[in-house]
Amino acid sequence: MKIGRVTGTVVSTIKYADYRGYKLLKVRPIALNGVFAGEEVVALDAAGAGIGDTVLINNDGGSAQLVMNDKQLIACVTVCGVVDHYTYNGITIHTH
Amino acid sequence: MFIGRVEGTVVCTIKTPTLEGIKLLIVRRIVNGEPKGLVIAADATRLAGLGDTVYMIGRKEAALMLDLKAPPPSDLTIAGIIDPETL
Amino acid sequence: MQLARVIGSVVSTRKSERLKGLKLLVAVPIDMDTMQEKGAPFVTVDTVGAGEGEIIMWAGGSSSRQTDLTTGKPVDSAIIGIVDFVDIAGQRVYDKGRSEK
Repeated sequence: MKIGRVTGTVVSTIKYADYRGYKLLKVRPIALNGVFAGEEVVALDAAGAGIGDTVLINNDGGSAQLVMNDKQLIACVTVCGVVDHYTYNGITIHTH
Repeated sequence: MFIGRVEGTVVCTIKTPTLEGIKLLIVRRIVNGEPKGLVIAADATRLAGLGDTVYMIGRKEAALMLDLKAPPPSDLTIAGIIDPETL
Repeated sequence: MQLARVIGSVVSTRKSERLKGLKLLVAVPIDMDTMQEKGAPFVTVDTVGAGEGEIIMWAGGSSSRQTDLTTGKPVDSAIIGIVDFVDIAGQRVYDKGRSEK
């Protein structure tokens, strides 16, 4: 998993039928110092996250089925948690 | 999944049989808002066209999304079209 | 998927048992912005009967094993189509029939 920040939502009327009812988010990985690092991706939201939230990004199809509680789901990237705080180099960073 | 904009099409007469009837689109990858290189993606929505901003799924799921029972050998598949007014 | 041009073939006698019977070709990536060769050549498995000089479409990763010929084989890229036309922004940037004349 990676830590990232939600940068937007994706509104999509025409989509793969099994994604109906799911919220899609734009998320971008961040380094632990809070700076964006890496490529923005589109993820299914399993954590009720919103724009600006620091989140856990999971990049695995099997995990996607588990966190979305859907054994038939075909997905790669999910937002599986909202981060409250994390500690790095002995410093605790509160994300909201 | 990755964001991109549809810029063209590829036509192959001779291809893997499971790709029959699947539209192959040329998509400009948009990374962190910046246009990048072109890739080819199969279209699972069947409705994507020139100028549409889409999101694409990769890896094994690209094949499964097209057909769960007989997955075509796609490594990149368009999963949805972003509503243009929300861009 | 990406485009590439077939520029040669590879023959290997001593190889993984599971690779036996597969046709290995050498291809060089085609940059679709210019339709010119760009990048290092690579070895890929032919599933459609492609030949030298042809522009092909290939898939990588586990998806390359989703063909009748490559299922269960130790393959990381496969040729899955021979390209006839490429249209970008309404312009025909490649036409197999024309390029062969």
